[in-house]
Amino acid sequence: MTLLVFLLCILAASYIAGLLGSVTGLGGGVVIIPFFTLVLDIDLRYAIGTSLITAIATSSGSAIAYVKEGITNIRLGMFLEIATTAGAICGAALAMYTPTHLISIIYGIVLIVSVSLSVRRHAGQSGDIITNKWAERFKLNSTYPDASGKLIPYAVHKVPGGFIVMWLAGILSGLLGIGSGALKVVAMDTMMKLPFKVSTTTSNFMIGVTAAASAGVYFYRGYINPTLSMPVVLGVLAGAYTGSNVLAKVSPQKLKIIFAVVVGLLALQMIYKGFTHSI
Amino acid sequence: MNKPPEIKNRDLQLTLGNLLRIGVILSALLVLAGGIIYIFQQGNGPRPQYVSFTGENSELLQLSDILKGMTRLQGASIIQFGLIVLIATPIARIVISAIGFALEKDYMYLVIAAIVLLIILVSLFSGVAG
Repeated sequence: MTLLVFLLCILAASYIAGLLGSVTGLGGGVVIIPFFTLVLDIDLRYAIGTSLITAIATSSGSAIAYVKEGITNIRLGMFLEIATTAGAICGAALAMYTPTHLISIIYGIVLIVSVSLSVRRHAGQSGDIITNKWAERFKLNSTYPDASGKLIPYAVHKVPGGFIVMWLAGILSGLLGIGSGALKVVAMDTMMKLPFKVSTTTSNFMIGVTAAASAGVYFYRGYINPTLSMPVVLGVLAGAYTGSNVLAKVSPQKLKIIFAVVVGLLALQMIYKGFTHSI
Repeated sequence: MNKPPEIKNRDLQLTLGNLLRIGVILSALLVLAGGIIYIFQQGNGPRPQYVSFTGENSELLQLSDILKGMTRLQGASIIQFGLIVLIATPIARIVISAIGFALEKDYMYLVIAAIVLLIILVSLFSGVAG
């Protein structure tokens, strides 16, 4: 296999990963790590570095539209980023001392939990505007435009609990090179009771910053490889762009289930390889 | 009291959106250009293995070395610089938000943005030191 063929393989896989990742909301990285380690037999550390870059690209790429529409809660995002970035540094530091087979097992488990969370249907918003003293103190309550452009107010609940879950999401992000989008959305959705649109866009907005916090460590340690990152960044961006355009035409629930099954099988194999120390 | 800050908040959001767009496009173009040069330089060579982790070639870890490589039109250095632009985009976002909060005289959020920035900088410099 020449270098050119190798790069084209990665480009094609990344395009599909970006497409499915954007349609299902899981991000492209969840496919990149298993594809690199299981199919191309690349060391897990290179896979993690590349995946982290993917998380930043997808987050910044898809945040563009949402920020302009005024759905993202910038104050809430900024507030919670204290927790996610602090967590990300802890995670990146842990990654340097954790053996790869153990990381592989943790990754597999997190992947299975993430896909199961993404398949579940979203609980409706509580709708009550009972104010939380933390939300009030930090001016987190806000409004978002509905389909007709009318501004709907919402309140943020359980701020300290959400903050702690965000810290954990940050650790996983730094340790595994993922965006931890599923965990962030669940925390905002079910604990903090944000409207679905606000939680997904704000979580997406935070992913880039969280990943940037650990990317510095990874970059200087040589985890971020230009040969591998090049086709992945271009492929995932193109795929995510296509995905955001076809989103309206496909049934996301059906696609989500197919994707969840594929990712679940990959995750099981990562766990198996971790236990047999063959990764 | 509520009206003027909301208008500024809207401006802030538009600036953030544009910043993200510029950062992503610039980095994608750099990665693409570097990638094409890289393929011309080594495309017919064998597939690199990456079976075991060796750490990156030290020429690709420090910004000063990467810039030097770019002046020699090294494909890998250009890609790496594109990746740095990509990583810098969300960090620049925090700086712009901080300026926005300062304009709105929202000092609490100015401090919060500064804390986030400080955490990221600590990460960057601990990476250099370690």
